[in-house]
Amino acid sequence: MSKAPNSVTRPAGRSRPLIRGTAGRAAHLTRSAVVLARGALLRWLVLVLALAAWQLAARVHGSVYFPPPARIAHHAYDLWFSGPVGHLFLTPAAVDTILPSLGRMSAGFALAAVAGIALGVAVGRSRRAYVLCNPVLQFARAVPPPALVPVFVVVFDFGTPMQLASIVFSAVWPVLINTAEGARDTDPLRLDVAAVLRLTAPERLWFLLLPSALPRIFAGLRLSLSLCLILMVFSELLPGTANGIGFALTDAQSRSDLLTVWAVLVLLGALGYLLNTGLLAVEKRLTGRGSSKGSRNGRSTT
Amino acid sequence: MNRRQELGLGGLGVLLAFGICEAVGRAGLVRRSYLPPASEVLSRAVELAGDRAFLDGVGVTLRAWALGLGLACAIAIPLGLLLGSVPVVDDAVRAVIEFLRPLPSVALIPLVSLLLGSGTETEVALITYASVWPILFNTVYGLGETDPLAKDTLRAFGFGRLSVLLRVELPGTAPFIAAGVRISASIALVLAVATELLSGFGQGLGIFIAQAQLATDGTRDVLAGVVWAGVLGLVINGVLVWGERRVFPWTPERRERAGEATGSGDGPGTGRPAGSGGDRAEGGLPT
Amino acid sequence: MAAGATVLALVLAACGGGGGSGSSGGGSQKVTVAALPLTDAAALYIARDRGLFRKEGLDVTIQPVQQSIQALPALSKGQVDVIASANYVTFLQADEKGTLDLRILAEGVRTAPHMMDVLVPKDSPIKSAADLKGRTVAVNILNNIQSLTLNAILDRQGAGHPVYRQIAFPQMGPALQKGQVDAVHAVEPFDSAIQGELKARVLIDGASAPVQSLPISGYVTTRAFADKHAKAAAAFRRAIEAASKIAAQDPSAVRAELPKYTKVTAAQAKTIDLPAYPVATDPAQLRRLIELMQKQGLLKKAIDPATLLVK
Repeated sequence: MSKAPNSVTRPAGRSRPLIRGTAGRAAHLTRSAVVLARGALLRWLVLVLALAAWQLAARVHGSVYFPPPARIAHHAYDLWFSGPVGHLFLTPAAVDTILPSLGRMSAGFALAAVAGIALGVAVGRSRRAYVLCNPVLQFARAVPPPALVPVFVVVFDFGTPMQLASIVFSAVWPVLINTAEGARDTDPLRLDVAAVLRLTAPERLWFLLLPSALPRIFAGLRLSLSLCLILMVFSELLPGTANGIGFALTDAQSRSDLLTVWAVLVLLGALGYLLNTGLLAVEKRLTGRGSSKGSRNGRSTT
Repeated sequence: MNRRQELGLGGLGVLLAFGICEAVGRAGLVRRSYLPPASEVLSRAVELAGDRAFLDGVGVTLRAWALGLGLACAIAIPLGLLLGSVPVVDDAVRAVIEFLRPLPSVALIPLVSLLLGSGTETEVALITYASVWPILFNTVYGLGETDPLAKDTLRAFGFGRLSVLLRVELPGTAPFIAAGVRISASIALVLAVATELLSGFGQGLGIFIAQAQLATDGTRDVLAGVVWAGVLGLVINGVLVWGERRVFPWTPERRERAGEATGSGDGPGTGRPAGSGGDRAEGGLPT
Repeated sequence: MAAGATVLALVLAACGGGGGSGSSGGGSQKVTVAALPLTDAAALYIARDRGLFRKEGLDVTIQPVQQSIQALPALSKGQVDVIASANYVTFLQADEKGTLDLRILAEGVRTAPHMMDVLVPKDSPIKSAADLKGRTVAVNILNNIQSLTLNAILDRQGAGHPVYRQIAFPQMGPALQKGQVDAVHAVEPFDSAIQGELKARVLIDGASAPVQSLPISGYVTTRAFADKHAKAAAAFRRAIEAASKIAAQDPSAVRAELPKYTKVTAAQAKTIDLPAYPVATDPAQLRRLIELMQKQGLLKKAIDPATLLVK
């Protein structure tokens, strides 16, 4: 594959060959489509094979700790998805379990995002503020969430306020730190231009700082989202919890109901996958770039 | 701002935070035994430094941490190199990875402990599971960032695929791998303590905190344990950042653009627009 | 990849194999026991400190654990041999679900007056059991022994059931103070501690009829251990029964023992209400518990406790 003569100055990872002309472009598109389709097919094939292997192994082994995936799926269906069409097939148990959890997690994520971005911009703008806060931030990040239960119990009301607080407290750090980094790295040339144009502080924030920090912010948001999923499970170990996915997990564990434990795990995996995909889609929309997945096609192949 | 000024300012930040906690604690908003002020917590934390049993427990936690992290590296780096070099395998395995990655390790505690028993094996297994992802993704991402000109040059000189891998891609990826290990190190520590807390059996810092949680007025011990966990995380992070700077002094900015920034590396911050490496590796799943 | 997998396997093999049942060659037999820091395990510590285990030729190591469910994986994997103060409800359910092949070595404790109480705030409008209907009551673990016994008591008195919330014992005090729950079902020493700190009122004695002298926790092991080390199991049972006899006849022995292995202070130990330490294991009492579990849906099929006992 020939390369354009100035491939040296092109940023690394983007050595896609330049093909000019509509015919060339059409050919390129078809080739990409085929590549994508083949990739998707391969992916799903491997997944199906893995599931089949699991089913076979579980059937043969017959251990109570490893129920076959078919049984797990059936149990999950019975528990949560066998409801009426009007309720999106959700059973009352599902409505009581999944929806409150998702609601808390989303609220926690939203709060953490807003707080993280706001504080991150504040900290990142000034080098002094950044160095001042850095050790404290690193310390706060290293605190294991379940250890703080006694503190939350005292400060917050039982139930949702406590759970939200514990989610927000741990999920804010990736967003905050990444936003601060992103704000710090703003091109000083652009800052000078902004000064010349006499942009006000809010204008500078909206038109300059946030867009240039956006990729870093999204990296932080993606981390925070996966963290929120875990924290959702953690928060439902807090006293006063009455419902939720994490609660269903610990309840099933204390009753030695392994089938439900597996069902909850599969549900968590699926939820995490869906949420991550959703966030990636939003990121693509807003920043116009792909994530690392997109870069793979652009790399020079051997 | 030079290093000493930075350290001084950082120390000032810590003192300020301490002062705020102290003020809140003494304001009498809640009962003293339910939420002791920061000075009491700190003195208890210092006291614990002389407690043999406590230090043994911390040693157990750190051993599990090191073991988990080491295993994660041993699995993730070769796997990452493989996935990064052979796109077909990468595409194939991607679906499985994308489903496994979001699983919170704490949710796995019941099952894994039934399989491996309570104690170190479960802890190490869960730490490894969670720590694999940042290293894996950073390795793959780092491979993608290698300079294609260098690779082409070597190939033009007749070096085989493996040689190119070892001579160009591995050294080029090493800073990214180091950043990934740094991220995983903090995740691994948080997870070590959290797993001990939740599974509650054996020795360790998390066990100490868990037992203190169950005492009628154990909040001071709990918070002292938390201080220890935070300080350990801080020290580990600091050591790894220092090590990275020593071994790979040439690429601070590009390294940090990969995955999560921990805010510890401070490149000159000169005119590099933040978005130039638009495709960036996912920072991976913490805990 | 292969290197990584081999390393993983080697490391896990090296790590594994801690504790567990020892050899029985000559000398004393090693037994590892996981115990909770509660009044339930007092007989175990009395047996150790008074040499009763040594007399039976046993070398007992005690490992602390916070909740008996946390020691269940260790028991089924053989990392510990016995769990002291094991919650019967949890372990019977595990036996039914197949994660453990349960054997009961000896009874641990049975309910005694005021060893656990339902407490309400001093100025609470709840004055009698009937007022609890529909209110929130905090219990340590949901759908376990506390809700089981409280529901039975309320049924006997013809009162309605409350709504249960799960709150760990140490957090019950703050919860009650802040009015997060209407009542708490607390066990000693938290029972006395909350009464002292918040001047809370005792609404219902947790050991009222029909759950008086009901077995709550005991010493459990697996069928594998009981079969393979039958002599050691029998010896352990004899030692525990002798220690329980001491505990039953001389409560001050228990009170002296408590500060050594729990976070109960000596002053608290003098005044708290102790549970009953039964001298002999009685399948009939266990059958009461099992019937109660069945009636409230915690157990699907009846288990004959006699089959679970170790001879």
